[in-house]
Amino acid sequence: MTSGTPLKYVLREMGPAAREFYRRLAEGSLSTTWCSSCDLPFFPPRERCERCGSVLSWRELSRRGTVYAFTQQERGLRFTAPDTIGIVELDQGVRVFGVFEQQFDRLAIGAPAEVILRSDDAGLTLLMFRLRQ
Amino acid sequence: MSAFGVRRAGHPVIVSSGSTVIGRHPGRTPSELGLEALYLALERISLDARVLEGLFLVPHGYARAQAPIRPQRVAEELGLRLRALVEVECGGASSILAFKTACQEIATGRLEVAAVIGAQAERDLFATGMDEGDIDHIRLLASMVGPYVAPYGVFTAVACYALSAQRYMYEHDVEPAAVAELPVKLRTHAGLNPRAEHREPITVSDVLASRVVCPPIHKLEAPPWSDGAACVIVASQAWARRHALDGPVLTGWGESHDSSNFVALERGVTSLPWMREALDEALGRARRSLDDVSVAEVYGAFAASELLTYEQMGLFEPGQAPAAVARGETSLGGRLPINPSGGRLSLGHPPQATPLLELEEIFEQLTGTAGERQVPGASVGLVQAEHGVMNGTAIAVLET
Repeated sequence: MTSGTPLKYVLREMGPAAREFYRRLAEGSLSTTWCSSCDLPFFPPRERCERCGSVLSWRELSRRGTVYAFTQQERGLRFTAPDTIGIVELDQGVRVFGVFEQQFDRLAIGAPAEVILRSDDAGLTLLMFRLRQ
Repeated sequence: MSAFGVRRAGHPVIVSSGSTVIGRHPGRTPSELGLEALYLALERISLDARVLEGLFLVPHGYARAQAPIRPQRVAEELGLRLRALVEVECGGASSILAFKTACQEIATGRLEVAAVIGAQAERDLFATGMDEGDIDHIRLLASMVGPYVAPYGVFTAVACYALSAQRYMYEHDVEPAAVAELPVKLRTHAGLNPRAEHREPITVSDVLASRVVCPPIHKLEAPPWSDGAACVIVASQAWARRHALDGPVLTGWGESHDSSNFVALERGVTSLPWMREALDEALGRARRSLDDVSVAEVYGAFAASELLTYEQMGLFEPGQAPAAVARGETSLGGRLPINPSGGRLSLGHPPQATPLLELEEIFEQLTGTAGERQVPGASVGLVQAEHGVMNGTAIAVLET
């Protein structure tokens, strides 16, 4: 597969919220949409609050959190297998999906982690999780 | 209340079902397997395809690229002029939703008899290699998991189910050996089912010694990606009477879909309140309680997710399903037999046909034709199916 092609349809089908999320990420800003009336973040980002219907606005997210869940794929479409992927819960309670820098057997649920932004060959900036001491 | 409308007379009846061998069908197409299942269903009631007024189909799999308007090609092959012809798609729930669509047509009185067919045949699709078009189709398939997960190379549901399984085991202190009890019990059921793909008995040690597919999921806690097809024929009660046919009636329907796609980040991958909502709706419409249910088929794509689904439907308290399963409460002869077919793990799992295979099992249970798997006196049956990674569910209540 040539560079970037695995994400051909992912990129083609991205809606405005996803395009904006990745545009901000490329500029070094990990952010998502918040409802200022309910004071609630929503990830994945979307246009309107599912509780009150208000139009949401973008806000920067914490890059610190804890490991929420993780697994390992024998065959991934992208990273060198086996890759460790999973969910980190950020300090505001928002959960995000990403790839772990550490190997599977070094991880534990609840371990402190931080988010590193990593450019990828498809032109997207992705989330990499690194364990904190 | 009733499944859809207000009149009990509008309740559709399942008058027949048919299914192919579940397993491998190299070189055969989903359409031909689907027609085989249809002919078996018609044969069971000694009727000809020309009685059918509607065909309700689903896409024929995932990895196999397909052109639009396949229903028309199936109609052409059958040589049928129809009053309803459609394909319904919502992942693994597709065929139960196609069933709903057919039942609604019956309930409103527009149609009197229709066939619902689901089929899949792609296990050995790439055995002779993949060309550029095949690879491009896999890329398209990968985009299914959406823009926040797909870029990390996740292109099947397995990794997403693994995250849910890990959290489930963590939150309730469930040991791997406790999860492994479920595949063992399902295999015991499958041993009594001639159409099941895997029938030889297994032990907890076998499950735990099987390869780890995606931790914590072992190979024997995962379903085979089977080839196979199933068909159910639904009719109005008046039509069934005219043809001297009987069968279970659809008395309840419930459905609830979360806003999440694959990884329910906001809900936390183990909280699936829509399961309980759908069950409450289905039982409420049927004016039944859980205690009335004699037998159930639950989708259960993986062992831990099946246990989680039992709990989230409200069949057991959170964290209590593994012990209940180990005690035999869900086994044939137990308090509530679940998945007498052998479930997805042992019956086999051609997702596009799976909900119809579940309906077929309940059809046989409620018509007293389930052979060695028969739940004595079964009169109220439940079928649950889902899509994505348990992101939404549909539940049918059937009664004799």
